[in-house]
Amino acid sequence: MVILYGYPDPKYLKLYKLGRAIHLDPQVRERFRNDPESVMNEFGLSEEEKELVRSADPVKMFKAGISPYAIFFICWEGHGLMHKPVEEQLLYKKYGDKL
Amino acid sequence: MARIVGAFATSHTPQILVQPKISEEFTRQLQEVHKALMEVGNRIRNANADTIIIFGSDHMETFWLNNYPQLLLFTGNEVGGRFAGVELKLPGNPELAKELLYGLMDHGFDVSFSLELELDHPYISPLYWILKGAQHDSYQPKLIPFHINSNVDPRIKPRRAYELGATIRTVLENSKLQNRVALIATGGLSHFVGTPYYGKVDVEADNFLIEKMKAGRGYELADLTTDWLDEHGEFEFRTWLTLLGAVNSTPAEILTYQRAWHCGYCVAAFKI
Repeated sequence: MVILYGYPDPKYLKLYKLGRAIHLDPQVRERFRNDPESVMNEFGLSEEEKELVRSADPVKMFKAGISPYAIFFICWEGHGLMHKPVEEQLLYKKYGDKL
Repeated sequence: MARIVGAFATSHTPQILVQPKISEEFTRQLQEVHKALMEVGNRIRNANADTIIIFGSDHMETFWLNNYPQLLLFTGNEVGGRFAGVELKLPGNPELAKELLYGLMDHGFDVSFSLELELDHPYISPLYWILKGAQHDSYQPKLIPFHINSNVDPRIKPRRAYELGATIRTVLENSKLQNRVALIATGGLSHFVGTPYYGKVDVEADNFLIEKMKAGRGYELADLTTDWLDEHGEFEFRTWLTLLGAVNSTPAEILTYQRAWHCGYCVAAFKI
């Protein structure tokens, strides 16, 4: 079974809320980039959620079951992966068969 | 009866509007997509369509986890949104939308509705170029957005998406309204946004879908599974399936296909 865009696990709801705010609100995005810990506290993330967000690792987040859209909001937009060279964004090339 | 006078399908990525400077090749590919979308607009205007029904899928932007609809039809007076510096506002067609809503309910599709809707890139990215091609200054069609959940599980099954389209056609054909309707589906083709497979484009899967549509055998694609769609990055093809159902799988003309660095861009016109 290959479901990539799965059901959003309720245990990550606060992480999802943070991701959506990063995506839709430029001020939250800017504050997150400058001081992620304080913004994560503001959104009430659990320690597990904080660890995932701190990792800035899309693969780790995906394997934890986070929705790919929340991953995009946090890693690409929040942590700025989208501003890095395309080659760094091509995760499938980086990880290959390890996925 | 309300007549379908045009049917089109297109990718809808944010990059279509944002136009990031990735490479000369990507800039050229986007230009081809823009050209094809403007051709769609030109054809919609030439077909004298007074209403556009656009099938799109939200990405946790318009909707949120406090209420995430599978199927939602806009039935209000005016609709629009803002994305990448572009503000779009068009009149709705509440009379036709209400007929669709009730007609679909009568045929077993329990569709949600909304009198207000804030559109995001799945609609605005392609519509910006389509309306430009239609010379929007002197031509203002009414817009009925129709959300078909393709991005957050659980999602409508491919067969059901196709049947939804066929039922939309039935409702339009039985309507006493005289609207001339253009249909647009947005999404796809192969891409893997936000996943570890980001950047992969399954060209083989794209070609498979394209060849079926060109041959007028789109009805066979209703047999695809949720797993297949996700595995090949084709999850947004659900909106295309609805359109295929609405036009009874009439053959497609591919206006452009571009294998870009993150997505298989495709714009198609269906022979009406």
